[in-house]
Amino acid sequence: MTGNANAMARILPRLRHHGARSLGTLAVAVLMFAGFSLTAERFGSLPNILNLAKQMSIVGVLGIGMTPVVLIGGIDLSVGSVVLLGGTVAGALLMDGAAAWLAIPAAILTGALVGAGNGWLIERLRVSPVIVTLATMIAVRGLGLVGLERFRSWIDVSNPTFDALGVGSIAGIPASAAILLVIALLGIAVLRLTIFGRQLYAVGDNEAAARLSGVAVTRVRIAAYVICGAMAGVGGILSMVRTAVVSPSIGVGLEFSAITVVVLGGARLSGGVGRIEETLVGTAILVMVLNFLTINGIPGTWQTTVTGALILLAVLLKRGLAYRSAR
Amino acid sequence: MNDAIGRVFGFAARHALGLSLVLLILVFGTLEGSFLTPANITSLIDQSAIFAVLAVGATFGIISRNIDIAPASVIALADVVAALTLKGGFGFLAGLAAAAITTVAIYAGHGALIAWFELDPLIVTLAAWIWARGLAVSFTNASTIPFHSDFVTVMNAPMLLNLTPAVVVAVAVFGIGHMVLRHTPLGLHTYALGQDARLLRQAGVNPARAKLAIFLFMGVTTAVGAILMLARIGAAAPTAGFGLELDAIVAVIIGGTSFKGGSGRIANSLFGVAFIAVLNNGLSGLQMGDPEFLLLKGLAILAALLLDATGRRLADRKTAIE
Amino acid sequence: MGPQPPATVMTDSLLEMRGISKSFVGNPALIDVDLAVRRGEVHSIVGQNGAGKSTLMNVLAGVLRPEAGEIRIDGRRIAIANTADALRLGIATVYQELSLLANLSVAENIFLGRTPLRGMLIDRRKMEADARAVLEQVGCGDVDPRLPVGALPLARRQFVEIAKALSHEPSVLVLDEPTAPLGREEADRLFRIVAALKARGVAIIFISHRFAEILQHGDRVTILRNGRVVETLDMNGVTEAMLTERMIGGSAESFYAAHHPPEIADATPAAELRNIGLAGRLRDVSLAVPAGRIVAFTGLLGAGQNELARILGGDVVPDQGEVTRAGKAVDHDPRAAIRAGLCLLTEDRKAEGLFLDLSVRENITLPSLGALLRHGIIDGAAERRAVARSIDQLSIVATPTAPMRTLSGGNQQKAILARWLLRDLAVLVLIEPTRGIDVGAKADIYRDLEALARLGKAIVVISSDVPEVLGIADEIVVFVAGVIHARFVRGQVTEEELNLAIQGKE
Repeated sequence: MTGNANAMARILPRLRHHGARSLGTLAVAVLMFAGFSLTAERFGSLPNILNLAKQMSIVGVLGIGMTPVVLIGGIDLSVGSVVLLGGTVAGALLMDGAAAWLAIPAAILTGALVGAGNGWLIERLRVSPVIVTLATMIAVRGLGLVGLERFRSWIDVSNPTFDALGVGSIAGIPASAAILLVIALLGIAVLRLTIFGRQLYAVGDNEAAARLSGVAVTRVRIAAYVICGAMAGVGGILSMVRTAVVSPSIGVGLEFSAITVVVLGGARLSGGVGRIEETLVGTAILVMVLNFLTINGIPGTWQTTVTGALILLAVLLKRGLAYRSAR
Repeated sequence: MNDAIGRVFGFAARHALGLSLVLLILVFGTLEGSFLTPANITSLIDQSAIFAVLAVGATFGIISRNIDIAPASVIALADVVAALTLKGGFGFLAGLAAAAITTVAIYAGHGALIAWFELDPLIVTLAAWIWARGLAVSFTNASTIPFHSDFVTVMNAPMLLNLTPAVVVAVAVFGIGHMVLRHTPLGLHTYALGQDARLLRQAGVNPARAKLAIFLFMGVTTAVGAILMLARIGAAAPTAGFGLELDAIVAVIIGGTSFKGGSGRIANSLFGVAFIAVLNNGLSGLQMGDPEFLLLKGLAILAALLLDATGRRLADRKTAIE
Repeated sequence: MGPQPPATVMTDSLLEMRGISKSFVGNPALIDVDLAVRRGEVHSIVGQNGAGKSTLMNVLAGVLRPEAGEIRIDGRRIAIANTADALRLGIATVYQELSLLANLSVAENIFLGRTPLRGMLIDRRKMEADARAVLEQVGCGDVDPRLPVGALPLARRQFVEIAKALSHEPSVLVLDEPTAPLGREEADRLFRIVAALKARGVAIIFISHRFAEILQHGDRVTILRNGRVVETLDMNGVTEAMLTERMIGGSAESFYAAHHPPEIADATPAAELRNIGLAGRLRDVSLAVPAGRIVAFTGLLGAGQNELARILGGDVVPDQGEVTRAGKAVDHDPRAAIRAGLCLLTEDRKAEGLFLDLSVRENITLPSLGALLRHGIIDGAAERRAVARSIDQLSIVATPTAPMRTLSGGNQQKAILARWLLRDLAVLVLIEPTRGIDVGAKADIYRDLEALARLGKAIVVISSDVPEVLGIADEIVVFVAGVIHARFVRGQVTEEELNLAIQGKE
């Protein structure tokens, strides 16, 4: 009996810390919002908030797709290129007279196929996902650009569905943000309530143990990359919705923003730790920081630097907190 | 009969990449008249000097399981610092020193973060991949800053066998890399870290200090790369060297160094460098647009990695049965 | 705070450890441990797996730092901040798990951390000459120091380890289970080296669970139990029974749980291994695994029992042969094995069994989620009920939502056992199931295995702990060099006979 009491005394504080990570990131986001709103009048205004919501949509969707990949301890650096390829495929179909309900799934399918390719190669080659997806990042961008050349490297998107998604809103929420929300809810449900979700966490936590527990490790890992690619395809659609064009520069650098928001949310690059809710909070933080900089007149060229610095900061902070709690 | 076929197959599997290289040379030679000319060959070797130097650093990184994808971005930043120093009227030596100091300082910082704060090397170098180039772009407003100096002229003049001094430097770096890896304690620690840092500690060596030393060494090789890049372009371009780190890492992997760490040789990386150099040169010689180049290069790298992995697996299976 | 003990005291002990305490994540591993070792003494340390022996040695070696206590050499208080300190102070350790780097040469391994230099480069000639000299000391003068360690067989590697330790010219030498990979002749050679060191005045700490060795070569023995020192005895008049009693705090019979196998032996085996061959490890091994029994596989390190267990559990693919259940062959992969009713618990639960950052609940239910679905998603309530039942059944001390990392070793192992019980399989293969866990949990696990066998399950236990094997097994299979060397039935073999069989003798 005393054994149980002792165990409780040991375990409760740790329980609190476990949930504290998520709450901590959320607290940071809320504080940030409050702080920025107070410092810059324009930040907290309704039009800017709607703007923030829209800006979150593309990076957020990519981040949601990146989350399962990071959960299994991998990484996908090709998503930015997949945004381009998905956009090109959808754009080409639209130009050839296809309807939106054909073009959109086509983009998503394209992304899923690239993801499957990534997953298969990574499992086959047993080389770091960094190298494989760096190579596919190059190849896929090339492929997308080659496809775009057919249209003189520029597609204007004029389609009623896309237009509606661009300006429309549901209950005051911009359509793209609503799409982000729906995808997030779906993702959260999958990770929490399905066997696949559990297996993702298990594989990321301890691949050998997962295998001995009967998990089809290879299949789970490839599935994670398929999801990531598919979400990048959605990102391509959202990009077309936002700018109404498919140009050679879309998606450039998006893979790093996607990884940043996953890390900001508190996920662990070595796998096993991370949640979609947290990725959403991380997206909010990134978008708020960049938006705040823009409002204060800092040129766009600094965005990359800030993103890189944010990653370092987030990881250092996590390490500092982990160190302190272990004492 | 079967045995002979088996043996040929085994040979082919073990030397899959060597044979592919020969194949590539033949293909490019046939498709482009100018591929196998002395002028092109010297040009090919010149062009590969920089990423060859980076491949030495990458070899150390991969053997010790400290992946580094930052070198190209750090070089871009270091060169910008150098060009701005020169522009400030401090002379070309000061500029070169500035480039070297910037590079080594960043790598020392990374080493400290990874060794003492125990951060994941991937994330630290990924962050630098992003912020270093970002800074380079911000400092130059996305434009190029010239680095005019006699130094540049000298470095681009043919020295030995029509090759530029850059190649000599690259060969020297390879030689030094080999010496350090095989004949110094730092080399032993590199292999040890790649296998099991715990065992290094049991032998009385502080793994954190070993890691820092390795990063400092990688910083030095990258600094050499920064100087060579400055000499090659004669300017600091924020987009310079984009993708060079991938070339370097792939060269090391294709050369036969396992990504799992703990084994590998500098000589192996030399082969990988040759492979990538031939690929780069051959593809650009085919006079295609950027998009096609990107596509083919990406596919070629994946194919090479696949070939290497499959070849090794077949070779292993064969030796296991024998 | 009280008066501080003087920095230097008069003593006849070369090494003194006093009041050493150390805990991990709230789980105490060492509690107020005292140890004194004299010059030229062979001082044994015994205790169950998880009693704290290795932790104590890691503190001495500078790998871990204690939370309390002091260490003195020749009466002088010393601080061991890291492994370099320990080596410098003359404390060398031969670790239980080999600390050699396979890709480096023998000489490079021996002199790692103090490689002789000529200028900035390694002085290979001196290094190899010095290596040859110290290898000579351990009877391995014929080993080429330039060879990569990975090319040497396990027994030779152990001697290279010892040579490495001796090359530091230590005044205190710690040997942690040094004879595990050695056959009888090689073990004798080891003890000759130990005798020579004794004569030179080196203090030797000898950790082993082989009582015969301790009784024969030890001068004094300290017994640890659950992180505390039970007693330090002079070897005069000490018997095995005395040691066992102090190690487990009770009698052996009650500890291992008396087992009454069902009278009627079941004709159909639960599983069969047929003509199993694995390059370099196993040669044409065939074995039937009976239901309702506990079968133990045992043997020296590298004799093949571990690999056979992994093949049975579906983890390793053999070069030849098959695993069958009810006459049908089972594919050699974990998923197929589980579907066929076989599961595997390995000896390294940290690397292959635990999901440290997942909750206890998630750890237990992972293979059984298919049965906990409702409308395609996981039924939380059903899951919670199942886990509560498991925790109760196996007396696991934990809250279901706690991260696995916070549990003690014993509770972690019980949770893994619970995982497989929930799946309700016919054959459980457990490799070293009681390694590194406290005595109380061990007793619980023995009781649970006993109960499972009575329910009709086939239990296969791989263990190198001879008393454990004798205590719990209905059948014992001894492996030597990749083949089955001997088989015994409960109650028909003595410890001496079993030890001989393990060594390969009759």
